[in-house]
Amino acid sequence: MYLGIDVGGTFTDGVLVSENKIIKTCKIPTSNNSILEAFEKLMDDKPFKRLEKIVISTTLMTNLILERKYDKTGLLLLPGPGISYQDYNFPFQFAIARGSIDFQGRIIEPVDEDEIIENVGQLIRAGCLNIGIISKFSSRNPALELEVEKIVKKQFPHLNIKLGHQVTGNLNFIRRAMGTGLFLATHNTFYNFILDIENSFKQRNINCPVYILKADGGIVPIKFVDKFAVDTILSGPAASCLGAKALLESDASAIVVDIGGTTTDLSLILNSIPLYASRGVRIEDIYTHVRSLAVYSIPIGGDTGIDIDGNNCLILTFQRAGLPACLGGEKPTLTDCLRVLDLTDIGDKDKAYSVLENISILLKKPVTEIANTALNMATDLIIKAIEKVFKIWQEEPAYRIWQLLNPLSIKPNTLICLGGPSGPMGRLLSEKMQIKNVHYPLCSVANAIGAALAIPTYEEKVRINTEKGEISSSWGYFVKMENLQKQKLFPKIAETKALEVFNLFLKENKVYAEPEIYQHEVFNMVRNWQTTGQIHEITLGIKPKILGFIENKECFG
Amino acid sequence: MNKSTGLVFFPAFDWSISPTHPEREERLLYTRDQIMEEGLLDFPNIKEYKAQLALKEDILRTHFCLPAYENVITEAHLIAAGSAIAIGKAWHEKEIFNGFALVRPPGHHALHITYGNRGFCNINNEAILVEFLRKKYEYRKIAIIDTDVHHGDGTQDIFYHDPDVLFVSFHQDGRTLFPGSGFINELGGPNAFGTTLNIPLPPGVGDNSLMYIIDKLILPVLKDFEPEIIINSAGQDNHFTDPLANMNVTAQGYARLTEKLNPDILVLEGGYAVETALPYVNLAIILALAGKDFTGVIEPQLGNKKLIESKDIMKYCETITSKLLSIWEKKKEINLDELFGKEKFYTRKKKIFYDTEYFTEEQEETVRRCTDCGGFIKYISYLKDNRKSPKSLCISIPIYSCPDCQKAGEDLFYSECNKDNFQQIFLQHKPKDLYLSKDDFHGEY
Ligand SMILES: [Zn+2]
Ligand SMILES: [Zn+2]
Repeated sequence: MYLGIDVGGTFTDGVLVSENKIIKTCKIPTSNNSILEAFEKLMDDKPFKRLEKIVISTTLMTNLILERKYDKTGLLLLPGPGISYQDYNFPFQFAIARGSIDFQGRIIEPVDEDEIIENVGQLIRAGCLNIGIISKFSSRNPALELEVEKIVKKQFPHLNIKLGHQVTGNLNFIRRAMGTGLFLATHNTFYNFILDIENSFKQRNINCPVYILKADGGIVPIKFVDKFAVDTILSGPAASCLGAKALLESDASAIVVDIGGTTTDLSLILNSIPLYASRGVRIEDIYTHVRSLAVYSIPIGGDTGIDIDGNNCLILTFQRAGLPACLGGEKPTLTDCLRVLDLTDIGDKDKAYSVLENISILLKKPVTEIANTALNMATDLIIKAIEKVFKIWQEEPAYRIWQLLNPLSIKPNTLICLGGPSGPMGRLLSEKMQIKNVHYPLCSVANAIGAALAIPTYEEKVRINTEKGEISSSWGYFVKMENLQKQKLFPKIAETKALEVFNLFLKENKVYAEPEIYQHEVFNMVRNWQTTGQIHEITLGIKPKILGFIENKECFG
Repeated sequence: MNKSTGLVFFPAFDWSISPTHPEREERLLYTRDQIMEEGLLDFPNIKEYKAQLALKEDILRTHFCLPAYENVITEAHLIAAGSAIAIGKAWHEKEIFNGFALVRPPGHHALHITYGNRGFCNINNEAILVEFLRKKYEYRKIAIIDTDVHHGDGTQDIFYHDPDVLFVSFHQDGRTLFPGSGFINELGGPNAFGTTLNIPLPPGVGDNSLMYIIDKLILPVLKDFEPEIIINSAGQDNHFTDPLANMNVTAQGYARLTEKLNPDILVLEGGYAVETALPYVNLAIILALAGKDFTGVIEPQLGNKKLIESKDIMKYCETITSKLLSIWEKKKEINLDELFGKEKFYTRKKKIFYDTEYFTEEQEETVRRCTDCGGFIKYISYLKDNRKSPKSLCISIPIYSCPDCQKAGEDLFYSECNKDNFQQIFLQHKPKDLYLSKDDFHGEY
């Protein structure tokens, strides 16, 4: 039995899955205690020992970042030549120090011990006890970060230190610095949250493994998750997309529309694989290195308000209007429109009618026409956004000839709507788009289903520079290899080496899965018309999959 | 006003002329690393566009591909040209304020007639862009500033008779560097005299002397010409570390040059110091385009050094500047008959060496002299010492040609198609966007 819990902003959803069948679901208001509450509701009197795993998706990290609930953190940056410091925008204090590394990992300028001590001293005086140390190109050579760490530790042994290359080995100095800062600034809160969960499960004698869901739809054992804390941002949309996948045919290509209270998240499943974003997650002006599904959000949801503008035109307000009137709120919302048209039976129809009647009198049009017009406007906006998602996907830059000559042309033929008002909205959208609509009552807890069925997934890069005899990676692994063939490394040998170091990483994190090579590129390094070495860039990982497809979707609930 | 800078980055990581050739997969690898590591693509005012394939008609609008289209064009070339077009479109649509096609392979050595690879180039990306912009959006006056260390002889050839295209190239003197042309007396044909300007420079030119030439010569000429679009053939081989040339320009110099020229569209040309120059020069240029501070982009090889050119070089630059400026200012007073004769048609003969594939083209170029337009141009071309090479007649009617020149060009095409003087005959009819060969001709059209 697998148990999935998705803690959202308003509701916490949970499901219990056994042999590809949903056993039980629950939906409760989110509170400090909702993980345990959901757990108890789902398990009832079932024996704990049949539980194989628990997966939790939480908005904690997203909230910490959005609300800037940071512990005081300082960054010591070694940028070397490049863009101006004026263009840096960190929510943390930072200081610049000498010392630089180039794209090949060559040390261009050494560090200056006195300067480092002085700079860190200043950060400490400003109250920062968490210090991130980030050098440009540290993934190509972490030597300077390590050297600085040594200097700082010797002088200030009580500090919390994190190095950039330990957070991510991907290129992008600014995002790496941001990720290092976020890690340090949220670490305590996140760690305590994990301890709480672990303890409360322990107290109940639950010994099955517990995992946390990441933004890429992969899971990490809770014991190791503090290393990957920042990667748990925006795991909600990933959970929803995986859940949608579990409710579709096993080879489906579909548009996933997740309609919440104030936002609608759009994502794509192409030949049964969720589409990934080409750049790291961005939340407002916080740019991170975190890999995630490609999710496009628009500010429309069931709680979106309806109003009249200065020209007596009906408009959507794009602001939370409070609860829908039919559920006890005061102002008319899209949910009220669905209610008066009997497209949903949630809430009190009379209340919905009476708030819409005010608009109807002012515009001298029947209530049903008002409701239809508002829903039309909303579905038009969602469809426009879906078209935009396609456009973004198709206009994704490509750097190789074969990619341009073989454009992906999968056309999703199915729409699956998740979330509260998903049933009627899905029908309206699919009619307009002339596309197949998939809807089950289970769609309202698809996020929890996605969490329950998630497994580890990775896409990482290994770079081998034969001239320098170095292997580096996107997860921060770096090693010098003495006995590497210099001029030409056979592709098979390079790939074996890459898999070897990647398997090491997986083992460290207790992940047991067969990695695959996704792509392998070789660049001959030529100096003075002589080949002096090769750069192998190998992309490898574990394909995003789920544990199974739900079989009792038609008859459950 | 949209202040975004557009970028098409197409490093063609799966294309090379040969594994150890300067034009190989590795060329833009470290530029990519630097751009990615700096987080440049996260800047809100930098917009990345996807590379695109140019269409066959885009190529035929600009070139005669001999002996046949298929012998000259590969997909890599279509993508480089198409990416320049992609930036051109975005610029025209005002999605961007300026843009940079950071693409390979390069193109400025590809002439009007192209037989294949010459100076690493098969087709001329800038010229294809110019003809696209003129055909699709009706632009007319366009300036191309070639800042590659090699003379942009291909671009010069294509627009030599076009009074609406200003071509300015500075480069290391043709006596010391490929392709061996680009002298001060190459000033354009009889219909476009003065709209080609060449600034040959001695080895050792650095940032200061270059800024002098830009400030005192190129900018005044640009101001006077009043182009609707400025295109920069942005070669980076004037860099002090370039292995193929001998100049002393730095990344800062390239950025300041970009800031001063303020081009609308840049297309990457040469530059083969793949580690020591390209990552830094490209970064500095993009920052300059985006209006960002570029003063922090210092090449590790430069460090604290200052590259100051000799007094002789400064003196040379002052002299050539004043010479060319006076030519530019007096170009309307020149007696063209003295230079080009009194005949209705002006003919010149060229031998064009293809350095990559090692053959020589024999070419005779004839332009109809006209005071209203660029005339029409006919070429007779074949490969020297190659009996299999067909003798081709190529007739080009420029986009803004007058009715008389158009008619004369069309008539020549019909009459020659009825004769047997040439094995191949091509018509490039830009006003009608029609690209025909003898095989398409069946007595009338
Ligand atoms: Zn060049
Ligand atoms: Zn004419």
